[in-house]
Formats: sequence, structure tokens, C-alpha cells
Amino acid sequence: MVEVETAYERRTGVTLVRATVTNTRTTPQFVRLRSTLDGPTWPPSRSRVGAPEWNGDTWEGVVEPGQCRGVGFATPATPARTAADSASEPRSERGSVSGSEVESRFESESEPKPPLELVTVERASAESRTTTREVLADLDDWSPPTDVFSRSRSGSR
Amino acid sequence: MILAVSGGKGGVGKSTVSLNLARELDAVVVDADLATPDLPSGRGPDLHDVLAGRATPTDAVERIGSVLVLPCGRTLAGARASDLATLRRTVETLDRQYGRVVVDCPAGLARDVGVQLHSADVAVLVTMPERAALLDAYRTRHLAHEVGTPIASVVLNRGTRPQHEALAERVEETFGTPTTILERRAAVAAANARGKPVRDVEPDSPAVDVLSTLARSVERCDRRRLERADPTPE
Repeated sequence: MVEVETAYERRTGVTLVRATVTNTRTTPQFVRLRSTLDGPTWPPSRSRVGAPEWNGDTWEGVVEPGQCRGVGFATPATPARTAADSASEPRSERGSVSGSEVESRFESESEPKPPLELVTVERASAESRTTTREVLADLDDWSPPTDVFSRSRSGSR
Repeated sequence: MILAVSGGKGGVGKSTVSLNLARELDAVVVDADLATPDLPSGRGPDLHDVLAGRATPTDAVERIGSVLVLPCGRTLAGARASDLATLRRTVETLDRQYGRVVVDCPAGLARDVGVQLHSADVAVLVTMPERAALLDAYRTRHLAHEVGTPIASVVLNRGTRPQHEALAERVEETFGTPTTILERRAAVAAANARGKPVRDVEPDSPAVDVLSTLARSVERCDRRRLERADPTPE
């Protein structure tokens, strides 16, 4: 089973959503999540390059068997529940999916939709899907080489 | 067509090949070495300004000698403020406007080079006949392959004939790419020192022929790419 546990928190006009995707099955699972919030999705950026798992409001990634992965994003949108009561304490919801059919369960019926929903879960294919975005995100962040400091100090350039 | 001139190692002659290829291809050359630029600096806005959103790519292009250049800023603050994510859009804008763009990539294999190779349609790898430079070029070839950019040619810069011909053949076999020897010549050094293409300084130098042949092979590679993308005959 693949479970998603979400929590969010509103801070200075921004909703910070965090989630844990847990795979309790014995095979790696390819998971697709989508933001349910009505607003732009701001994915985390590792040193100025957006996390490759995010594309628009969808997150796609492989969760290894018995492992969990953290997912998070920010958005200016306010979750369904009004900002007044969510500002003080973080809210948590839980959704889970068994097999390929998608069903979401929440701890309480009155709870609003979680900010991240499970769209699909399928067994990850043997060949890893390496996209160009992943290749680029895996490269070292670029930084000026150290010798430019001595160069700019000597004023030769 | 967007051509990335890369190679991994520093000091192998990427900027020299970029400037000369831009001259031979009648292209705009972008000095994309954000922290340690080598192409002549301009007078107006530069690539740092463009990548920070302070100027449009077209505004920053200027004619330096016979070549159109998008120069790079000289400050570290400018390099740090540059948003790499906008580089692709920048070169694509220039490609639409001028038809041909040569991107002079920095040394190393960090994300800046990855983004530049990814933004390009074809790449030329510059290296030298020495182990470290060849290894770096080979790593760059791998990265270009991963981001889906074909390599038009490998330039063995500062090689000599005939002793590096066997090496060039081996490079050609290992890389699976045509390899050109650009010999060490006074004309190239003289043109370099003046920040000009060899053709403008010593048009009779054999180096001009080599560079011109290289430019034609880049054009051929680009044509093949376009034919593959659109296989309908004219």
C-alpha cells in the first residue's frame, strides 16, 4: 500500500505543504501526486533549479519498497479550510491507495480535501526513467572557480 | 541553430573556437562563461543583465569587430545574480532573431554547462592532445548525450601534424565523432591576443581553412538534425 500523509501550515500569506509518501509494498512504486489547491504550485528548488519531480502541480517519483519520501511545496493559495483556524496549528490528513485503484480516506469526514492527493500508483518499471530534468538537477551547482578571486583582486581582467 | 562549444577543461581554447566559428557561421556568439568570461567585453548591457532580467537579449548584443557578441559581465555579483533558468529562453530568442547562435560554455561539468548543452541543437567539443583534457571532453560527450545534444565535431586544439594524427583517429573512434586538428599557429595566437577571429587578422592562414571546414561540418550536422525532425522531402 502507498500512503500519503500531508500537513500544511500558513505563514505570511504562503501555504507550506509537506507530505510523506510511504511504500509498504515489496516492489518499487511509481507515484503521482497532485496539488488540490487552487493556485500556483511553487516547487522546492535545489540551488536555483526546480526539483525535477515537480511538473506544474504534479509530483512524480519512485518510492522504494519499505521506504518513504518527503514531498513539499509552497503556494499562495489558501486551503479549503479558512485561514483563521489553520494559521495557529498545522493540519494533518492521511490518504492511502491500495493497488492501482485510487481511493482516499480521511480521518474525519468533515475534514477538507488534503492539499496533496494521490493520483496514480503503479509498479515502477525496470528501466529507470531518467529525464533531462533529472540529469540537470543531479549536476553540481555551478559556482565561480576560486581563482577568479585572485584574478579580480589583481585587476588583470 | 544553437551551437554549444564545450569541452570540460579550462584553457583548451573554447573561446577561440567559439569566436572563430561565429565568424565562419555568421552567428551571434554568447559568452556564457558567467564567472570567468573570455570573449571581449562590450560597452552596453551584458549577459548578467539579461539573465537577471534587466535587459533583453537583443539589447545586449553588440558588434565587436566583425562578430556580433553577447558579452558577459565581469563582476562576481553579476554572476551570482544570474538566473540560469532563463538562459535557454535567452539563446532561443537570439536564435529566432539572428538564425545562428554560438554559445561559448564555461569549463567544468556543473549545471551551467548542462543547461547550456541542453539549450543547444548541436555541440562542438574542444580539447587538447593531453590526457586530462581528453578525459574531460569524454565526460562532456557523455553529458551531451544524456541531455540529447548531438556532437558535430571534436576539435583537437594545439595539436601538430603529423604526430597527433594517430591520436585524432583514436579520438574519432572513441567519440564516434569527426575530429579536427587545429594546429598551434602564430596567426591564431596573434588573432586571439587582439580578440579577433583569425580570418580578420590573417585570412591566408591555414587555420582559417580548418575553421571554415569545421563550420561546414557543424552545418551538416544541423541539417541532419532538421531532416530527422522533419523527414518529408522538399
